[in-house]
Amino acid sequence: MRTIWIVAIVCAIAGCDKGDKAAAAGSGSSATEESGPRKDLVEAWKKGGLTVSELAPEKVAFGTDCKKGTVGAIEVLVCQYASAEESKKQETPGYTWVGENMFGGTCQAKGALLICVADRQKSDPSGKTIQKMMSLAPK
Amino acid sequence: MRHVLVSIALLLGALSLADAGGKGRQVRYVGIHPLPKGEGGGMCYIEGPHVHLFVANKLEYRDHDGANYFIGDPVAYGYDGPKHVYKGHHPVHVNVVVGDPVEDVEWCYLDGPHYHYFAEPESPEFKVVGGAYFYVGAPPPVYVEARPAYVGINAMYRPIVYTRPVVEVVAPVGWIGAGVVVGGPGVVVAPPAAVVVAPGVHIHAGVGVVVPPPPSVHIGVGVSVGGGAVIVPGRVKVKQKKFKHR
Repeated sequence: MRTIWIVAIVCAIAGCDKGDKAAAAGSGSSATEESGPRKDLVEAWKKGGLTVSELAPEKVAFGTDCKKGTVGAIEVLVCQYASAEESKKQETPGYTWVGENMFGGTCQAKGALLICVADRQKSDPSGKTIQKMMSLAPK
Repeated sequence: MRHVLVSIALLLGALSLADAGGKGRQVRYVGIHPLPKGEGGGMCYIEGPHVHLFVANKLEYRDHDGANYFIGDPVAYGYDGPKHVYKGHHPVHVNVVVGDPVEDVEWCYLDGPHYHYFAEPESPEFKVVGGAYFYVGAPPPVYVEARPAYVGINAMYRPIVYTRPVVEVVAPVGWIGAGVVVGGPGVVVAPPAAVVVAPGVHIHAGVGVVVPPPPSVHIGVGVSVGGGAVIVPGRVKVKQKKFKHR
């Protein structure tokens, strides 16, 4: 009982309500991606019938605004850049994230986004889901 | 003796562990392609650049800007997407198919009727007769030079049983697979490197070009007409039939 009171007091002091919103924004979940090409991409995937998880920030060497999640059982990393030229330049470095722990993978620039995909569980051996993901991506 | 056997067993164990755990390096591909039997077979439908860990064979793939591009018949591997009928050897404008700026013309050396997943861009080099693409251009030296390295693809496809297209149509004038035809029916001079001097006929790079009107007999460049192709004068029809590539 005392613990609950302590938590409640700490929450009141720290402002848990505001903090939650800030944390959610920081976590980069798809629900909190207010606008922009990444949000459009996630919406396009969902409209296309794909199951997209929340995307969480991911630290990588080739981008400062990258978020990772899954589409079905396929891992996906979506990085946002200032321009299409910049995202195109990062295609090759993006393959370091794809790595060797996969059956198939790709890194393709679509506008200012770099979309890297890795099928680590061989859940899409025909690549049809990956192809669909890339086809649905706004250019 | 026991030491030797133990050593061999350990060595084999180490090798198998290395094989199982030691994943390969990324191998670049672009465009759809078959998957090796060891990986479950079938097709990979990713059209853009992508990577796998298995290597590509030398007969069915060409290098396109550092990536392996498949030039074979995808239907042989269970491809179920849109397809187009071709007959005989022809160029493939790889950059147009994959949609990138790196200009690259490669050659398909499949004899007889076969499928590709791409349609050729409109050009005077191709004629579409009976729904099938026929290459009627002048093959460059690079086609002839590379032919010995790639015609082996026909032996590779021969034992594969799948539904091939059957082209029942008169091949257009100048078709690359026509070889050399002199006069009327039954008079055939088989290439390669045959030279025919006839009015209005030009020979390029050792490959025969045909002019006479049908009826005529056509021999595929390289080896055979292949694929059970039937050429019936006066008929324009493409149908499918299951048979072995001959």
